[in-house]
Amino acid sequence: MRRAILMLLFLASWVPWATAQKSSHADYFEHYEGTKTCLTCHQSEAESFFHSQHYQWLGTASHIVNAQGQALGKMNTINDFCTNPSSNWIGRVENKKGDVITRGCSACHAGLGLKPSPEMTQAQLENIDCLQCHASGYRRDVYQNGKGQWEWRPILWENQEGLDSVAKRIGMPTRVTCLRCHANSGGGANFKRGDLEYALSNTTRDYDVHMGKDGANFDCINCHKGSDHHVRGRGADLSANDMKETVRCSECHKTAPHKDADLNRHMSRIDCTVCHIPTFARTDATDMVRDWSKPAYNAEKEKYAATITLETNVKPVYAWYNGNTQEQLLRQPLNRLADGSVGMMIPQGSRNDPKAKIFAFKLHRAKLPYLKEQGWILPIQVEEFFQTGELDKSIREAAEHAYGVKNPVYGWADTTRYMGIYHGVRPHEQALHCKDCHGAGGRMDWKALGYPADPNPTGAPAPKEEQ
Amino acid sequence: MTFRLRFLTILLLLTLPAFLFAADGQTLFRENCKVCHGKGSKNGVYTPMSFTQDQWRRFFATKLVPSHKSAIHPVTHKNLLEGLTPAEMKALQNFAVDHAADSEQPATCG
Repeated sequence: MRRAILMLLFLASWVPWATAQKSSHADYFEHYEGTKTCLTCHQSEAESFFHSQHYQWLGTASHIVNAQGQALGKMNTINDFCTNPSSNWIGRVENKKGDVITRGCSACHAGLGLKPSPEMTQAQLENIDCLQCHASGYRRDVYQNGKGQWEWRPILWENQEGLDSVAKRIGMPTRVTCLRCHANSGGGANFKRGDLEYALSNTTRDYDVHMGKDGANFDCINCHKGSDHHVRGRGADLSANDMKETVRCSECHKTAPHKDADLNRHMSRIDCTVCHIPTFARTDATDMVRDWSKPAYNAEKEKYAATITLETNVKPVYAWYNGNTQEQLLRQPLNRLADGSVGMMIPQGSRNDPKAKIFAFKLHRAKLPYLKEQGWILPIQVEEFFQTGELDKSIREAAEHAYGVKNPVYGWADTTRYMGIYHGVRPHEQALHCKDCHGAGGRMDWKALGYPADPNPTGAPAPKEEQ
Repeated sequence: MTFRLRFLTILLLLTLPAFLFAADGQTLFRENCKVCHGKGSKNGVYTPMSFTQDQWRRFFATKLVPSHKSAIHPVTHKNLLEGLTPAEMKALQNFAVDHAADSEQPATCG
């Protein structure tokens, strides 16, 4: 009896906690009047968020070997997908049917339309769109204000009762809220990342042991936890790190997690992702090649785009990685690789580097314009291009916007980007086996990894006495 | 087709729920709602994402009939509500709720 009472008391003590986790804001305000409603109680949180990578789209680039101390991020670098958000920030571009074909890169910025500034002002704090990450039922669209400027507003802005209802459903970011941006970057579902699919929002352990509902059922923030609105975890191809601490499997999984000693021995040089993510882009095809020199017209969407090669169930490529990356930066000479392509993001490390391990990557290839005289990589004003297909004009405008160059003489460069693959982690039953990498037909390019040949050409497991 | 198989097929079709034969919600919304509440309408512009899911549920439960009991469909010139079967009304509601402002796929009706 005493034990039952103690158990009831213990359970009762969790009730307020459970209520707090739901974080309904029904009792905290009557009407949502924009971010200033949130700032009434959360000024300090807004100030922390203002300095974060998610708001600034810039941050400390301590792992970019050629950063030279600069803060780096989306705002001042070029990627080989939609190139750069700076000149493609916000707007409403429609096709001839009147369908919106783009609203600008700020669709995924947690702000209401202003570009982030280095100085923290009240206007900048009120530009933070808290609901974007904290209210799961919140949706927004671009509208022109009285001054003709574009801004993001809740789609319920004319329905105060509905807006209040959504704005009071506050909680920590869920898988869905994170994936709305992170699974849809690069122009389509899973186009950019490859391993971040919308399917992860509601999946099984077979698909991802961490996010599967019958697995650990984690939200993104279980691993990407942080503090003060700064988030842990930097992929190999990201410019900045929001926090010094990174996310490693070994935080939860002990250093010798396998029953088989041979597998544990591999862990000193092989990252877990290599065996546990045998393929990526399992539901939505991912962009493997984007050729901006060849505009393609999509008749169904009435929209121009680059020529994009999509693939599903892609086998990763493998490379040494010691945590550092070389990035092709603005105003830096083209970093030509051995194959002549420009290395947009190249993981650092080698077989002889004791800090390096072999990691799994998506290898993205593209063709981008570059300034012939200066040897600088060029962005493209893609928003305009999507509508008109006028590539030359879109490159010229971007050259002026990025570098102040008015009559650019440009050529085309093949580019290579290694993108870290970390999600879609499979259970041991589906992980790679010895012969997937070793022996005839194995997936590793041993010579490229610095080995004279396959170190285990038969693919046979090590004899028990050697283990 | 044997007589028995034909009989079973007819029996199956007769016993299928009526909603399976109803037009899809998007078409119904376009043909019955948008005709009076489209862009620039003086009756008010309403699309599924004009309301939250709860607001749509309340609207169908308590407001639709009183506010539309004498509404005449501008194309068929018949009473709007009498022209919709219960199954079609359900399909309309499902479409509005599934594409409400706080749904995973907010939408207009195209």
